[in-house]
Amino acid sequence: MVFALLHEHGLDGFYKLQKPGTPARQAGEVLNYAWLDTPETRQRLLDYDDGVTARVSLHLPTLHCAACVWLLERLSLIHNAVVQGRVNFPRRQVSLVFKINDLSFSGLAGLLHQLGYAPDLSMAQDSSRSKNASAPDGRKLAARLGVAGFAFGNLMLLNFPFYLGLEAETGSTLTRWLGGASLALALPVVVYSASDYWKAAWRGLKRGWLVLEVPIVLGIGALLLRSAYEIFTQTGEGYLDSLAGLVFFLLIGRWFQQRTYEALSFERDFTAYFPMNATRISESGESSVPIDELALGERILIRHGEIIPADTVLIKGQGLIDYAFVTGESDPVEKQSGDCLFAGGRQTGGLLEAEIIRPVRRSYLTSLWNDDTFAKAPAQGLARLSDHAARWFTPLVLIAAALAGWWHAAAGTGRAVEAFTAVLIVACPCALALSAPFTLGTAMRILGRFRLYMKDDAAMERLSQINRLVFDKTGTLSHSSPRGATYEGRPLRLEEQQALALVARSSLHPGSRQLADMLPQPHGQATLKEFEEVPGRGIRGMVGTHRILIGSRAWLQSAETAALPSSTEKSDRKSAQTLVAMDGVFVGTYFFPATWRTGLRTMFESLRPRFGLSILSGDGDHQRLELETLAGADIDMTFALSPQAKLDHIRRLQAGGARVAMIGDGLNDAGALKQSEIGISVTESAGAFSPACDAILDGEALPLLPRFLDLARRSRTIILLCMGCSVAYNLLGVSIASTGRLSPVVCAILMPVSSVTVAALAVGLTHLAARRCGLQTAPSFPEAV
Amino acid sequence: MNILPILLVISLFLAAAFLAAFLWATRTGQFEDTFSPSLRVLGDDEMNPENQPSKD
Repeated sequence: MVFALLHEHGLDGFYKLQKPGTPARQAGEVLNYAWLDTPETRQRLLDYDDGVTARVSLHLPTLHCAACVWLLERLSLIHNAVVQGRVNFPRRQVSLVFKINDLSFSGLAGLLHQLGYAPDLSMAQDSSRSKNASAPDGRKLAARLGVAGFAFGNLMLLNFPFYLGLEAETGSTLTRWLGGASLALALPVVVYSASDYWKAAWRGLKRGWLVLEVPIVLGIGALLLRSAYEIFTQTGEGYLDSLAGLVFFLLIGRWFQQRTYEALSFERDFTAYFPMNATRISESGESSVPIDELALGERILIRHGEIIPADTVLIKGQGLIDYAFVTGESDPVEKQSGDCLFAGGRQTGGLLEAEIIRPVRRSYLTSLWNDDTFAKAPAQGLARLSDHAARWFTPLVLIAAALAGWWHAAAGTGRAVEAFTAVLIVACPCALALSAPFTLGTAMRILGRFRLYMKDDAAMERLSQINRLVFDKTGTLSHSSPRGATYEGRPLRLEEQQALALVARSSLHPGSRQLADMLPQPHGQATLKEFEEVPGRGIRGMVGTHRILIGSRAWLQSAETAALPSSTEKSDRKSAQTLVAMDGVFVGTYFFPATWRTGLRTMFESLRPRFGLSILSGDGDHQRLELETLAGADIDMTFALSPQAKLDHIRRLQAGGARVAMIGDGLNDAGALKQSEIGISVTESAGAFSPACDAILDGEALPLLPRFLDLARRSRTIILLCMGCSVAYNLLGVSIASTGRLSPVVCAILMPVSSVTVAALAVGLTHLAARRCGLQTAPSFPEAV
Repeated sequence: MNILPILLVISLFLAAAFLAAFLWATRTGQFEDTFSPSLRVLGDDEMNPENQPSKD
């Protein structure tokens, strides 16, 4: 127990820092970390390892508070072999130095697991190590910012005499000297601090685009040249302080943007899904090896539910491969011995033995997730509005600046350069480009608090344009919980129930999951052999000497089960039935009454006026009446649909002009989720979703759907509003700047001020909208364990 | 006013030294994580009599 462990080592202080009642994690199933001690894994995951001392950075998803930081950095008090610990809280990482000859890597992982901080050792960690290597981006920005700030401050200092109008007194040598020093200070700013802008402008111009950076670099260039001219000819002091200030404020704006994006980014890393190890079969037996180790010709074992790590050819076993992640089609494909099994598929049958025909390419697996087949068409409307704005903005600004400069030159006011550069600098496209990301990012964050996790900005935008909702029935509208489940038949002994549980646990089907949930835990010793699952029909397996069948009536019939009750008795029951047979004889039936989620009726009532509604189901229509009471008699309901038929239904709706959001549980709906404009995957436990979905919704949060959609629509309005503000600011700024009376420093300050205002407006209005939609208070469901 | 350039040179020198220190700190990753130290402050070392004064 966690408390005993902490108390033993005098770390009761942990509880002083944590409020009582915060769940201290129970050590769940004991995970096997033994594979961490293999030399190859050590080499890959440990930052440093000399056999005596080792250093490792581990990702701990359950790190959530100051007490966790406190505890993890005092790990040395719990186990002597830990030398030092340092936590990076925003990244949820701990960096540990430990004596690896006293405490093995697996022992360390086990210790963390015991304390409730099970390390996340999936592939995400490997890919994030390469991400860490590029974290210096933030450092580069900080360095540039430092140089710009340094130069800015010192340039203002050097220009002090000129501010006070003291040139005449100080004499020309000092003036010349100060001018030279100013130039020397300004050069690093232009060359180094502003380098990102030069590069971006050049890249854009090479392709013939007038990117947003072009006016900025033109402004910088103009300021520099004019100032240099003035200093060399002694006609003035130049604008180098404004130049440095301009770059400084630009970089600050960029820094803020970066930090906000980091906070808003979609954390769920899909690469975390893939298993990192596979079971290799060799003469010496079975061993667990990292998938990179798998060589051509080696044999591996693929268990039910496991992902195929590389292209293989099937040697032994009945293959039923689900390629939902590769093709989006979730109908399992049957494979026989001699057939190819491609990487990324998931075995849904029993045990397989396969031979590697192509080495693992982890990049391939990762690319499956980012594959274009999962990318949806870019959103109409808003995204293009931002793009359009960017495209005409720059030429307009250049024209305006040129006009202003030319007019002043023609009128001989002597302020041509001031006007030209001021217009270039004051026009700020940043706000136009920021409205959408900030609004959508904030909205996504709010939705995330209420358990709807959107994939990205583009998905948010599409969500705001939906006009038709399609619901799946099983698992979405109905619970997959065993409440009210009943059993009829011969009483089962404990071992028999455990045997049933063992078979049921091997399947991912909701019916099996429900059954497994209500049965007692399987006995550790018993093993399951000859497992087979036919989707939609049933499962079978051998436990010890008993043959067990679980499934539909037809399933048991096909296995010639004796003593099956006649079908008429049960057909008028409204519950889903699962029949069980042992050793060829029918034993009993489990009834799972449909448990609808709470709050559905109000949800449908609020949705009906604004959206077209449909319900699709793979089941028969025995629950039609109940659904009609819930959702209204006029709702469009279709039953007995295969996954492919669901997809076709969505296509038909889209052909009729609807923009569809599909809400399903991801198991049988992968194709339909992909086809819809927005695919929302409803889960009870994260991990059962498909990458074709755009959002993940916690089952308990489903009744809040009307409010979510409301927020999505309002955020669209907010974006337009913010863009309007930005345009107004620009018009005002350019008009004043063109008179040539606006000092470059003021322009430089106005630019980030406008960005900050628009960003603040976007965020503030979104929060206000959330309040109006009824999403203001913290959610009332219990914290997820 | 001959002293003025000398003074300015010295002050610029000093400022440059600070800039160098800032760049060094950035390069050695001291600005990587600006949030965790705020959490570390909350912990109480007195609770553990055997704990040495905390590292850096």
